[in-house]
Amino acid sequence: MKEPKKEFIQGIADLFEDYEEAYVPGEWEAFSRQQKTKYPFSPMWIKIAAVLLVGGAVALYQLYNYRTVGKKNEVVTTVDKKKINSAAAKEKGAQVIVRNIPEQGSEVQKNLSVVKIQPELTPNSPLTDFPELIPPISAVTLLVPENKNAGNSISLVKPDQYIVKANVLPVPFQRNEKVNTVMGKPEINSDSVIKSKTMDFLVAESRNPVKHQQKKNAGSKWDFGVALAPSMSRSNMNIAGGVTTAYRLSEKFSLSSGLSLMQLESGNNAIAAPMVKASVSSLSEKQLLAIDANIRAIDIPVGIVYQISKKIYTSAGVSYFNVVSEKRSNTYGLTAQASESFSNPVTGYVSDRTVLNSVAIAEPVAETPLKGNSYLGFFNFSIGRKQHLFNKYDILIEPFIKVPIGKLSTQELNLMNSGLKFQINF
Amino acid sequence: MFREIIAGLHARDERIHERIYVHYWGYLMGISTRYFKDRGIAKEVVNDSFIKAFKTMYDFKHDNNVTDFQKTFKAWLAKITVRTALDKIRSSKTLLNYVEEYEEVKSAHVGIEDNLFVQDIMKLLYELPDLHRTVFNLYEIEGYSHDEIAGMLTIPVSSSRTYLTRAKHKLRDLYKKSIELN
Repeated sequence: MKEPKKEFIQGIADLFEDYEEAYVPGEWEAFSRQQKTKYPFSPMWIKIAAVLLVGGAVALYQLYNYRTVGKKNEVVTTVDKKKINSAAAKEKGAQVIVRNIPEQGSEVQKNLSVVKIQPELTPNSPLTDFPELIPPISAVTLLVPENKNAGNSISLVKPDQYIVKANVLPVPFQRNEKVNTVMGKPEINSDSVIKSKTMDFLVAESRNPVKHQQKKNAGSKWDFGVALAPSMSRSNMNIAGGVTTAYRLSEKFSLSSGLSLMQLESGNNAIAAPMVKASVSSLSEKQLLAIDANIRAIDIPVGIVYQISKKIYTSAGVSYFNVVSEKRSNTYGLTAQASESFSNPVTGYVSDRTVLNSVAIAEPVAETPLKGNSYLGFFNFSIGRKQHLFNKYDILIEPFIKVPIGKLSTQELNLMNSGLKFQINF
Repeated sequence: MFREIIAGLHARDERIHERIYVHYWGYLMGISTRYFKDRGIAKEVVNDSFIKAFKTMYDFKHDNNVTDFQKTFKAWLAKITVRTALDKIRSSKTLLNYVEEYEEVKSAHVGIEDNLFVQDIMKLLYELPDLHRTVFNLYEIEGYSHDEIAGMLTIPVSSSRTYLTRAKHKLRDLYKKSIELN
């Protein structure tokens, strides 16, 4: 009997079931080459680089701001210098503005006030009665210490004399103290004026480091930093690193936040009731002993920092926790019955006996229940000490504890961890 | 070789990538070319599938039985390739949004006259609209149900059935014509 013809569609399905093309030599080489070009760095390194890049950008921004402020002061000084020169070259009555404006909000500026000498004060005025006034200049704007008599900063000037120095030292002046006077010809050494003023200012500043610190604090309410935080969860070592920022709300309180990449290894081997107890055979059983997980996550903490003293602070807050990658493995205990030959050492009689063999097997798990999820993850508590390093850099050493909340606390894994955070603020 | 792959998976040894790539490249290309006429795109899909597989294969579940591993690992790679192909199709939306209408000729049963050759059948498959061909591949060759196909292609189940019927009729018709010509 003739076999019926196979249906065409069924024929196609059979044809393609195990169909494979012949390997084309060079494909693997092309693939691996492409991979190297496409991903020259592993994703982990890319993330670390991104964090460092953000940190670097913030640092550069800070540095740029710092330099810009410095340059502004320089410009003012240069302009003034020219004006002084031109004033020297010009005839009597020319307007001269002498300024040495320190950084805004600084201690020095607070103690300075602007004194304008009115135009009616001409070289012909009877100035001997008013030694504070500057006669040859039609209008002079000077910054002199506040709450002090304006005259204290200006020396006696005679009708055909020119002022060559306006001292702006934020130190008390004695009345009628002679600061600097050039008698005779109207020659002004403006360089010496500027240098002298700057030097005086710097000397005064260096004499008062506390005020310098206050100036920094008064400058900006924002703090930026980079942090590295090794921690322990149960017996595993974790590491986190990232950038931090804080906004000073008041003298005692500030709001802190940041972004850090966290590698968290966690496990739970204290499973009271066996979660999986599957019989492999009638004589063996498999029992889940422990779950281990390796989690990489982005942690965004938000917290309130309370300044206990100048150097000691404490903080409390919560973390937003986004799991980027997750690897899990289960450890099973396998108990199986086996028969074993046993030789009696006395009689030499060989007999079989039944023994129970227990082994622990670790198996990777494909399930990643946390991966890709975001949680309001942790309560963060910490207490820390701040130590000034140099310039505007401070180091913060902060023991902390992170307690999982919400969905994270109901996981099989124990994600609670604590450690020590090292932070550099700038 | 499979023992080597199993050992490599256990040890998370990246050196097995090459062995796996060379061994399964042809099989995955066979799948990918059923979905894409353009060999360049098919190759791209295969490479993307390998990238995905290399990332996740260390967590591949198996019971250390070589014969079972051989089957399940191959099926797993095939599944990744099909999913990657569908992603590629979805990313180029025009492929699925446009269904070419053609005169439907109903052919109920067509027996195979001679041996079927892959290249000939491929030519016939490429004659089908992309969506019809995709549904045909998924149902008849990959073995997915209409519900699964509807989910994967985000089309109604009834459409999946209709496209499959049309694809089968069209293929039978094309086959008959090709036999008549020869």
